[in-house]
This record gives sequence, C-alpha cells and structure tokens, in this order.
Amino acid sequence: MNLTRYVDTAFANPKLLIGGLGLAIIAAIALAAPLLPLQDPLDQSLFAQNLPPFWLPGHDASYLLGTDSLGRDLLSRLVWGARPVLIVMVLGAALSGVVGVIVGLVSGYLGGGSDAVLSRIIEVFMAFPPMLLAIVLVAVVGPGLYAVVISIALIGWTRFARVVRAEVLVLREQDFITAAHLLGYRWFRILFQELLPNIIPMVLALLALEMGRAIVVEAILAFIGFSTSDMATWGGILADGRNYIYQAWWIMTLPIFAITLSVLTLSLLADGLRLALDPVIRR
Amino acid sequence: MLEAINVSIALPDRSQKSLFGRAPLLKIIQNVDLTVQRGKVVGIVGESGSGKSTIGRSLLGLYRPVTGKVMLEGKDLASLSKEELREARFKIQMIFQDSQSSLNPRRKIIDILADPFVANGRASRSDARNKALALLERVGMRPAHGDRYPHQLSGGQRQRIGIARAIALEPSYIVADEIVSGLDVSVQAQVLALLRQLRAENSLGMVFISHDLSVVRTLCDDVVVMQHGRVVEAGECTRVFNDPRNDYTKKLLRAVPLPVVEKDWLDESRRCDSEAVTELPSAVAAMR
Repeated sequence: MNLTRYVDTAFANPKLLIGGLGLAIIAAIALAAPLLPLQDPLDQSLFAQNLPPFWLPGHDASYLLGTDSLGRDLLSRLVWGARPVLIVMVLGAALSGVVGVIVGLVSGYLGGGSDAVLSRIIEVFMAFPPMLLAIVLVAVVGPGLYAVVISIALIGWTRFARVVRAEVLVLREQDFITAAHLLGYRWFRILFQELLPNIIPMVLALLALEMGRAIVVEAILAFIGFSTSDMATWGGILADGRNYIYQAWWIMTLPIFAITLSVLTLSLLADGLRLALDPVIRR
Repeated sequence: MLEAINVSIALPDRSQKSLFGRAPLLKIIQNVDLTVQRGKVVGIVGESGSGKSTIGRSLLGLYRPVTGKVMLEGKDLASLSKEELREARFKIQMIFQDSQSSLNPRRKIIDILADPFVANGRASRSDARNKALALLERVGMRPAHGDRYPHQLSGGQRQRIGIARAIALEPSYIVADEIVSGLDVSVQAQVLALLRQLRAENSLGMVFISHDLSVVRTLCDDVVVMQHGRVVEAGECTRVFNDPRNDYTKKLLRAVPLPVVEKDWLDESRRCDSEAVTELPSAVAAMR
C-alpha cells in the first residue's frame, strides 16, 4: 500500500520523476564508464578522423557516434565526459550550498551590523561578472577540475545566501522562534534545529538548479581550455569540434545536446522538488 | 510578583524610515502599571492596536521599556545580563495566539516538548522524552499524538501543545496572548478549563490578553482595560464589569453581543427534523 502511494505521488509530479531519473542516468553513466565496452576516450587514430555517426553515409561500425579531428571515439568521449561533469556538479553545488546557507543563516538571524556587512559582501560578488571571476581564479590557481569547482562555488554561493537570508528574515518573526528564545535555546540550536530544517526544501531545489549551472560553467571553462586537460570533457569536445563545424558538424552538436539535456533535466528536478516539498502547494 | 511599573514602550516605525539614519520611534504603550500575583489571573482587554500584546511581550523582556521597568520577583529585567535574563525567563513563559506559527512545522510534537529539557541540560534525551509524554498527559492528550507533526493536529490540540510547552519548565507566570480567539466555543471551554486547572495546581500567575470580555469575566481576578496604549481602567474583575467608571469601559461592555432568545425557541413544533439529527453521526462516520 505504501509503495502504490509512492508511485502515485511520483506520477502526480512528473517533473520530479523525469528530473530525478535523468540525474540518476547521468550519475550511472559517469560511474559505469570504466565498465562499459568502450574505446579509450584519449586513444587517437589518424586513419579515422572526423568520421560521421552511424546514421550518416561513410560511418565506421566501430565508432558508433563517429570520431573527432584526432580520430578519438566520440561516444566514449561523451560517456567519459560525464565523469568530470558529475564531480564538478556535485562538489561545486555542495560547496556553494554550504557556504551560502551558512552565510544566509547567520546574516538573516543576526541582522543589524553583521547582516549589513555580509549583505554588502554578497552584493560585491553578485556585481562582479561571474565568468570573469572564474577566469581570473583559474588564471591564479591554474587550470584543473578543482579550480573549476572553486569557481563554481565562488559564483554560486551568493544565490544560496540571498535566498536563505530572505527566508530566515521571514521565519525569525514567527512565534516558534520567539518561543525558542523564551525557553532559553542558544543560538546554535535556534539556527540548526529550528531554522535550518525549515529552509532545507528550498535549499534542495536551489542545489538542483546550481548543479545545472555548474555543468554550463564547467563547459565554458573547458571550452576556453581552463578545465582539466587529461580527461575528456564536454566543453573540450565542443572546443575541438569548433574548427570543423563545416566538415563535421556532429562533433560540436553531440556535446551541445548532452549539455542541454542534462541542464534541462536538472531544471526539471529543481522545479519538481520545489513543488514536492512546498507544504502549501502539496496540500 | 511580576509587575510593570510605569512602562512605556516605543518601537521603530519602519514606514517612516528615511534612506539613511534611524527610523523614528513610535510610542506603542505609555505609562502602564500592572501587577500579577502568583495564583491570580489578570485580564488585559481592549480593541486591536491598543497595545495589549505589546505589554504582554514586554513582561517577558522581549521589548526594552523606554521608561519604567518590569520587575520579576523584585529584579528589574532590564538590569539583567543576557545570561541572567535567559535564566529569569524560565519563570515567565508565553502561550501564543497563532498555534500554527508557534510550533516548528518540521518537528514532531514529542520533540517540541522534549527540547526545553534537553536544551537547558535538565534531562537526558530519553528522560526528556518521558517528561514530554507526561506533559502530553497533563494537557489531556494521548502519547500517540507525540509522533505527529503540528499540522496534523487540530487548532485546539495545537493550543494544548502550546500550553504544555509553556508549563514545561514549571514557570511561575504565564502570558497568554489571545489564545482562544481562533478556537470554536466548545474547544475554547476545554482550553479555559485546562488553564484553570493548571493555575490551581501550580499557583500560576497569569496574564490573559483577550478582546473577548465574556471569557475574561469568567477567568480573571483582575482586569486592565487599555485604549490607545494607555490603561483607562483597572481593578477587580467583578467591580469593573458591574460598575465601570470609565466611558470607554462602558462602551466596551455595551458592545458585548448578548444572545436574543425567542421565548418559543425550544417548542416542539419548531424543532428541526429529528430524523436528520439521528442520521448525522452515521453520515460523519461514512465520510471517514
């Protein structure tokens, strides 16, 4: 009986269902990449350059989705490219979330001077062109996956901080917070037991959204060569394919498709989560 | 004894705030005197906006008075350090008007009632759980209610939880702010009966804020009538209700709606269809 109820709930919220499944598929592909019967994504073959995918004339059966300009298997590169995406997406969103939620909680709860200072810091970060910030950072730290993660957090935490702060400002005027003060609860109990659980649903939705943004940021940084160079990345494939857009359009199209689809998936998930966890809409 | 002596409270008026600089202060209540003895109930009545809630909250030290002082058993609340105020507040608790917003929507009832003990180091987790169950029983609820979330309870049940939480730390005084205004009459009566019982058991001193004069009349020993942030009349309940001296009090008392009963309202011929009445319980059962 419980199971049918869960199934009913899932179908009542197709956005959550599709988004969740999509995220699971991306994660599964990324994790299973070494187990799949694929060619080495870095293996070059100068006899098989710019081969088309299987539905076009002139394709080679051993390269299902064709090859790029260095004769590397595109299917393999797309699948292996999901691995840096997964790392960046999870770590980037988590880091932005942790920093943003803490700043938002503290800022909203303390109010007054600390709130003013923290809010100005958030505004400075938001006023800075985000990609420029990321590029400067990578230029300082050096290219690589972790530089990308830090850039994503640097860009993304302000969103969390802003939304959480606004929510805390509303919550702290509610009577259960007054009651908590009267009962002598100390600040960490009020922050983490009374306030935090009430903003978790929103933070989850924001996390899904932020993961989608992380994919785009990673792709852009990889496109301009600031991400890791010892792994296949979707942005990297894009950059390679750009030079051959007239001879081999599929090289660029395939990663664009992958990026668009995953970002869309995560947007759906965020929307679905928001609907599922909002008690007012749920009732 | 809990007393407010010549208390005035002013709060910043944000609608008048200029871009820079402070918001001007708006006087909410002026020169209010109030005394609550243990075991007594003091009613505060007045129209909305008259400052009833503000004086209630200032008794808990939630607002700092601009003049006068709030004395708890001889100590001025404003003179206490943050830590001392924290301790002092265990003696004064509050029950809120909106039972929904007064309970954390994401915590189970049992946790809401166990937290006061755990947070103040008065009991271990498991001990606190037992104390919470005892509290549930004291306010007339079953242990099974502990596993529910606030939105799964009715308004009257939630208000009982609010009361249970307020008495958890065994305070000497309780400020009850419009606690029955959102409840229907039969539930109101139950909650009021519970309050009377608790007052008798613990000799609680109570401040009962309400705009419902009939409730105040049945429950309170003393009453304070407020208008525009000032006390216009104060005294023993029976005296104020039977012999109001202030014009505003008289007006307020005249405004109490009294039922106009037609003589024949219980006549056999005018009774509603008796069949429909007997069908009602089964119809309710079918709906479940």
